[in-house]
Amino acid sequence: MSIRLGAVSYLNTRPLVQGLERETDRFDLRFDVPAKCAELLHANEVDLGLIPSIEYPGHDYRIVPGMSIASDGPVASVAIFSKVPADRIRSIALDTSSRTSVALLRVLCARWFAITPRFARMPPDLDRMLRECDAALVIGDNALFTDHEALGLEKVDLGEEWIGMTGRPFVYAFWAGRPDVVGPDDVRALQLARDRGLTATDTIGRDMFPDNPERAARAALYLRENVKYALGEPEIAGLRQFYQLAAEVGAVAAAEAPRFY
Amino acid sequence: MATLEDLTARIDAGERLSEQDAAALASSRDIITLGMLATTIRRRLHGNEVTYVRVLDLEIDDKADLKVGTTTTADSAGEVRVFATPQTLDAAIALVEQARDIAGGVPLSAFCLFELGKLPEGLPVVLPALKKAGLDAVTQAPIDRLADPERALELLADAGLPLARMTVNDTPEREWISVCREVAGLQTRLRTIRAFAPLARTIDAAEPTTGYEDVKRIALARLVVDNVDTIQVDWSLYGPKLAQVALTFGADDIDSVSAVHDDSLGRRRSPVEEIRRSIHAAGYEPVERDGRFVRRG
Repeated sequence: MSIRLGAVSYLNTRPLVQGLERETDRFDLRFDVPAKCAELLHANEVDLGLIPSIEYPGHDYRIVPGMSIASDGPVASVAIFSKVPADRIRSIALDTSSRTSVALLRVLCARWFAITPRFARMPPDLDRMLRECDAALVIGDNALFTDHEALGLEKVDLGEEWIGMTGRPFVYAFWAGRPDVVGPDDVRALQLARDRGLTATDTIGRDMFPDNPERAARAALYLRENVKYALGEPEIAGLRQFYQLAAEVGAVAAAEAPRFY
Repeated sequence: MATLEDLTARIDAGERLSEQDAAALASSRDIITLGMLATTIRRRLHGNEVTYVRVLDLEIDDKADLKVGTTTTADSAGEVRVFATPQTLDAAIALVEQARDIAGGVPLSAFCLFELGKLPEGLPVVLPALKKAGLDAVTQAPIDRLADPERALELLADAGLPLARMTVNDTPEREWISVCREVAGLQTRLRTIRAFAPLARTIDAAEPTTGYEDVKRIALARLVVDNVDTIQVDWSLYGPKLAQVALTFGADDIDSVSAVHDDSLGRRRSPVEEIRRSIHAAGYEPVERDGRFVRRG
């Protein structure tokens, strides 16, 4: 029987799923938004999910080794856009569609920026967010393509700030599922898909932005330079530290040690 | 309803109980089956370990100052706790600052989120101020008293304050299973609930619950709230015997073990040797933790 895979169809996840849809003997692949992907895994409606790292604690899951969606410098697609320098921010509007990014921001506010801002939840509309708050958490394409300088804003890249604080990579997402749902051959197939994807960043960029060559080129560069797809010792150490700090600031229920297939 | 074997197999595979299965179990009087199913989840999450925390409760004297009940210091405690209902934010801050001095490096929890919400400044102001004063966690949040539990928990997270436990204040009049589903739903959305203490914090002296009802609530909490790591029972509130039995119905953590070694406090303020003996006798391995759920020693 095929392994039910729940994936996300965002730009930065494409390299991990490149070609998987053709491996129908091994995988049954579906695409959803990240929160839905995690819900499906929690409800046992998929066997393996490409889940945000904040969704891992509190479940008896195993992580597929060797690959993740991570950054070890500026990530470009997770940032706060601010009208004032970070240490003077008093209020932040949150795009709550990424709980991992919200938790990362909370950790950075408490332990790096040393600020205790008021948080306001609202839809990802930068104009409205900045009308009501000093800064806005923006993720995904909006963060990647918004020209902050043209808007007179500071862009505080959370991936860059995390590595500035910890010296370690930040892990945003990974494949995870219940123990024993995948074997070594399945893990190899997923790793091969990742390897294929990393050689196809230009194609992925064009597929995602077929009518906009400039964005397609920026997207390909983003996949090559900003996003990292490894999950080695440095990333695992960063993940452990994130869970520990997130638990300490109440952004996640408990710190949890990563466990692997 | 599915058979016990079916349910056990599904729970072993990590599946959640269906609403129908949970409702059928809730209406059943077969608490042995309930206990076995709850233990399946409990062992999957925690293996053979039971955690406990020694708590130093600070008392308020007639000058509204905090004091330690005996000559004991905070050294032996894994958590220092202030259980008071301050009438103003300034009073709350003053209590936290005093308690911080007493606690030293020991994790400090204080107050009930519902009571803090009554302060005129509102939670968005109160919680960051208490964090700044040195508070490590809010002691409890009663699901049955908070008007908007999700909003209140969001504000806690915004302030960088963990919640030590989600609680139930009164024995609920509505179906227990619906309370459990509400807690599980909150956790699905927020993922910030570390522990759930399912037994009511106030005990109706005129109509106390029975031991049968208590262990059934614990087992159903473990089965339905399967996305919260810890199901907790309060040693000082419910006594050593019920706390021990609760371990075989899905509980994995014992709260409020007194850090004060004083025989005059009576049997419900048991020294650490007694709690470890009780946990061993129930077939589990005792592990002492602190107020941050970090193992001690």
